[in-house]
Amino acid sequence: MVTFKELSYVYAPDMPYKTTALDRVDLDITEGKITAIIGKTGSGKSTLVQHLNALLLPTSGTLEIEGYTIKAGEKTSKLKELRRKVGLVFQFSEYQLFEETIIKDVAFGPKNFGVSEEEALERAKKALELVGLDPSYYQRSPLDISGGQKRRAAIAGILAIEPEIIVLDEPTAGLDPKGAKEMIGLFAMLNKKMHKTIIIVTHDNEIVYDFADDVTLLDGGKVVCKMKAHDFFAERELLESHDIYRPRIVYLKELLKDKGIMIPDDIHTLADLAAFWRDHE
Amino acid sequence: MKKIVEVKDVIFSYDNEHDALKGVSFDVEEGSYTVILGHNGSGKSTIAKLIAGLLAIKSGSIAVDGKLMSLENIAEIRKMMGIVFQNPDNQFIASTVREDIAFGLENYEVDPLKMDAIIEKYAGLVNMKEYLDKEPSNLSGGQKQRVAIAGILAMRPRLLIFDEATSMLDPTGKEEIKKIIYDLHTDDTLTILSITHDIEEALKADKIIVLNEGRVYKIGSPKEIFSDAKGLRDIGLDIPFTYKVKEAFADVGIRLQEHNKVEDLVEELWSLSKN
Repeated sequence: MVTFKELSYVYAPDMPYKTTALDRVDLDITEGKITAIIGKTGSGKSTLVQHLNALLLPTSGTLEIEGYTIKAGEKTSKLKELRRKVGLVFQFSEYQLFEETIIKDVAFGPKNFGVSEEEALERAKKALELVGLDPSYYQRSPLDISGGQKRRAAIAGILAIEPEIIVLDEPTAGLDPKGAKEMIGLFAMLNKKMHKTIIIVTHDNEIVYDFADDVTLLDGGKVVCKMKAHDFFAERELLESHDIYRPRIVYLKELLKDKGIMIPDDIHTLADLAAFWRDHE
Repeated sequence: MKKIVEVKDVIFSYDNEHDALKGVSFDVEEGSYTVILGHNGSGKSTIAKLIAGLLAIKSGSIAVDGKLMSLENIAEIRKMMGIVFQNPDNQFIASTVREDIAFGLENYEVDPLKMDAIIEKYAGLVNMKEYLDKEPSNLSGGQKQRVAIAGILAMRPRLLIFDEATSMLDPTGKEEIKKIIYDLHTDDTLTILSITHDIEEALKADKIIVLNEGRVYKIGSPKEIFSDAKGLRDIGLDIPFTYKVKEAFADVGIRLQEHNKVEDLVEELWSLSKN
């Protein structure tokens, strides 16, 4: 379990333009699940996830993660160990590649954490295979490949560290539909087969609906709610009051309901909807 | 209908080894809303940059408003077009919205006395009038894109190119920009050419040009393009939601019509349920 307790974060606390990005956040994130963090631009999502590997340290409150406790104002040792267990993939992570070759770039992380050169290369190969970059990419420059491939290489760099928790900030932004689907398929596989905890920040509620177990909604640095993803999108008033874009199938079900056609709550795919229609209408 | 852009047999390579465009031909009709659809790496942004004169053509030809593009006339041709790029942060150059919209006008040596009225008119058109004296740091991505559009519209282009202008925005920002695109389309002196992989946006176009691996895969109306679900999926694209519903119902033996709007689809389902 990852637990935020009364955690606040203030940017530029001593300046006239200080901003409270997180405001007394209490939140549990369940291990082994896919959790989506959603909310408008500026709601505190990125600030929240940067606490997970101690890139940001709380201004007040506590974070418990992977057996470590990070408390505001207290110096925390073992941050490096924590960062090995929690891999953070930034937004537009493709801009962070820097080595001469892709294989070196991906091996950089494990090497940095004290893994032997040989082992780091092995891990890099395994990670590249997971993200779908075959051996013909090993010796290519990260600058020479397409944007989607760069992003996969950047994600491989995090996977090579073999973290328990993988945190992704807008991993599908700017990808085409196929690229986005493959990317999400990869995270679902890491979750289901390798039992990694996945925490994903996204604006794409279609992805949240189809892939996430849980949803946490942030607004103005506060946690509005944490719910099962499918239950969350059934809360019409909550969605409307927070101006949340509905997945299209949810919107379709709402419109049908307005016409007096009730669709059961457990129908979440078009195939199920069509089968229900055939049997009942 | 008069053609404002004529692309003929265009081949282009960035590195002289791999061709990004392998012989592309299509036309864009004046006053139309035309979408170029394709996955990442299909060549759609390359063709946009060639039309805008940001890359030099190597083989084939591009004519804009009947004039063959060349290094000699590129500056003149460019005056009739405007481009909105992907990244809102790279396009905001001034310190306030007002100055940002004024930048292009100043370059075109518009009479300073007339400038304020022009700026207000176009800021109003993109619903940014109340933000005229705001700084870019106070604006969302969608608002910055709207300012970019206003700055371009103020120069009265006849061809407006959107190069993945919504892909970096959040859902609210995407909707804001798409609404402006649809509104602008009511002006039939303005041609809109939108490069995108947003299939829902493409539904509203007059014509869709689908690119794949540097070639034209298909040209047609939204209905013609989206009736080919398998072909589109094979090239890394997909079909819009309403078409997916039709497909899922067809799989269980229920035939539905094609619809562009979910609301119209619901009307059909409702009338089916009554019978």
